[in-house]
Amino acid sequence: MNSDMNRKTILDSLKTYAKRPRFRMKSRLRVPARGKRDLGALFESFSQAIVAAGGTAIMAENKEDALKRLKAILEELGIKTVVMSKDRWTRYLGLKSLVKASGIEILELKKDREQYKDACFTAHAGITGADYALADTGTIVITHSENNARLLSLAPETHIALVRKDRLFPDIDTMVVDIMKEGETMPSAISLITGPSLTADIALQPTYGMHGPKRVYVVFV
Amino acid sequence: MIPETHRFKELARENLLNTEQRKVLSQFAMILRALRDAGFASLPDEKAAMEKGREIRARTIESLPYLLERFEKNALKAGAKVVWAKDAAELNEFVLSLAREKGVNLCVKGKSMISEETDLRDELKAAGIETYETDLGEFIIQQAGRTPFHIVGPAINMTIDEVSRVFTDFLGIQKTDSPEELAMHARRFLREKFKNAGMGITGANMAVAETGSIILVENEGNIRYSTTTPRIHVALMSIEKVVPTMEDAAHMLKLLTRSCTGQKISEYVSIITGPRKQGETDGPDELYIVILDNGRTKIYQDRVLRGVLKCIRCGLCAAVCPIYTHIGGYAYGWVYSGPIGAVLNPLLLGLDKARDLFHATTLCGACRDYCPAGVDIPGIMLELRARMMDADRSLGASEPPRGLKGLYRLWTWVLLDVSRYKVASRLMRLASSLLARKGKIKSLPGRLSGWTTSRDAPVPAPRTFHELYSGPGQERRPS
Repeated sequence: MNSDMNRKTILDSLKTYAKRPRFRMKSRLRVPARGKRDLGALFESFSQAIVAAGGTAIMAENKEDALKRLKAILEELGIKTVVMSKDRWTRYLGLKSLVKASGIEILELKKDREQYKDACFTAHAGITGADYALADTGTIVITHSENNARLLSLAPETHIALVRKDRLFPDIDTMVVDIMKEGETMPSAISLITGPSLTADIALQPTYGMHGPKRVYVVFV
Repeated sequence: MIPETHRFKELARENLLNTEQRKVLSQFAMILRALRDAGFASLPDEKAAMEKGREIRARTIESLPYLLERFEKNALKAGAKVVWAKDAAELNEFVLSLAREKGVNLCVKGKSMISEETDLRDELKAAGIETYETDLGEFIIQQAGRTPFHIVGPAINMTIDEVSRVFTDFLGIQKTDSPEELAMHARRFLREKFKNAGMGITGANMAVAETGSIILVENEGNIRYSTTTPRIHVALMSIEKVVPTMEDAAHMLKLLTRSCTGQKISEYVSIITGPRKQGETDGPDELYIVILDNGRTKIYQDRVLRGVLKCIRCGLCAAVCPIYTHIGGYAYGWVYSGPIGAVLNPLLLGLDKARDLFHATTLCGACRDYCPAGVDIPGIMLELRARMMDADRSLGASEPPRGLKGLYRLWTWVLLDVSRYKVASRLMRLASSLLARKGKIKSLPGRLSGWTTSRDAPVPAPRTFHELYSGPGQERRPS
């Protein structure tokens, strides 16, 4: 197969019958002013939407309250081992010491890929930060990086995401605007996550935890 | 899969007799329509949102090559590799030789209609590369040796019992009537595969020209795995999957998930831009984006027929179609089912091989009215019928039977003139009154018998609407 030749044949043929674009080839970047957002109402909407999708949202009053809530979730589910993202946000919250103090083992994420996979596939829960929360759909958005790997929010049965309250955006459009406006290169992967993994492929009956997590908690701080 | 589109009539008849399946279908149609309507009602302005989606798809297709160029440029910039394949054989050959070259012996696959179109899974299997469909529905039909019953729900027609039997055979589990238990068996089985696979193969719901990203929409998480654990990710797309900007993609996403399942958004949406970056522990080392033509550039040359390329594969047209909801997906005989399949299968396979598909329609227009991408399926069906009569060789239509062509000519001649039409309709009424018994025509002679094999034909009223409207004793025709 000659990909270059195919490319030329396909594009040349299409061009004979196409029109040059006379429309915007860039996303419009109109950001709603941050001050105007009503975080209370956005959280209300987020909470309703994520519950409908089978997840749970929690609004913590402050850092200490968030840690207390997190501890309660871990204890209630009887979680013994966790994997954690290394983003600034989870570090700031001091999650590591809290989790350790609760007698829960934090599986270390090695650079070696096989060991790293083992940890993620073994852990009972994955605790990660999230970059955005979208109020109208109950979605959290993780832009993956060195410090927030993809498997953490996928392989363990429980996923707990901690989100800064002011990262609550109304919808996907405003989020896209925010991501694009950074002007830097796009992250290699962005995951939009709305509640636990779901299937209805057998007799249209909904089942949670098909491949991804069975339980998703979003704690706002 | 080997096309069976030429067996449409036979398959449709067979499927119509399956009463269990018809029950499932009518339920499926009802539920999906309700979910869809609720999903769209949650938009601030449903009508405007539909209009905008159709406008995006229309201008995208109009400027397709330029958007593809931009997409490629930005995908390359992000570190992806872009490969152009002319046809199914080339795509398969590329993926196969890549797998061999990289020493891959286990593949996990997300749902991709393109891979169904090229039979990629069978090719990989034949080459000794273990390959698993990982979407639960696809996994079930792979193990059952069936073909997709619906674009979005490939196994929705199967009963719990049937699935259970497939799993007892393949996974060696105890029989169960709990869908959840069955799903968890598949989860456990596929988890091991996700962990060890060397290659992940997915489709692409959208390819964003502005950023070179591909967008993948799913509910289960199997696509996230397929793009996370393997060292190599191969994304398959056909040329029409591109959208201009991320802003447009966000809008199309809202319409896509609402039309698929009624969801405001699917559980997972992945926006993938290039392979993993340095320092990242997961994600593929290499991302290959394969762009497939497979006859689409030819369709593109035709202003009317190219409308089919606007389709975003939501599957809604099937759920609202009075034909699909009776005969189901198998009768369409190839990859695509429902109204979109009735036009796409003939265009991709050649009209002769699938001629019954675009004739089996009521032309009610529900598919067109519901379509978030603005595909005028009934219009395309009529166009295909005309091309069939014109023996359009470029579309794979051979010379129609002489008699039939003559008949259509005669019909056209009659319809083009009012007095000829009046005479003809009088003759028709005379003939039908001669054949009628107790107000019904029970059987028509010779080649016309097809009209009366499964139902009685009604006898036309003694006077036509025109005659009633302007005849004596009636209200005067308004001037």
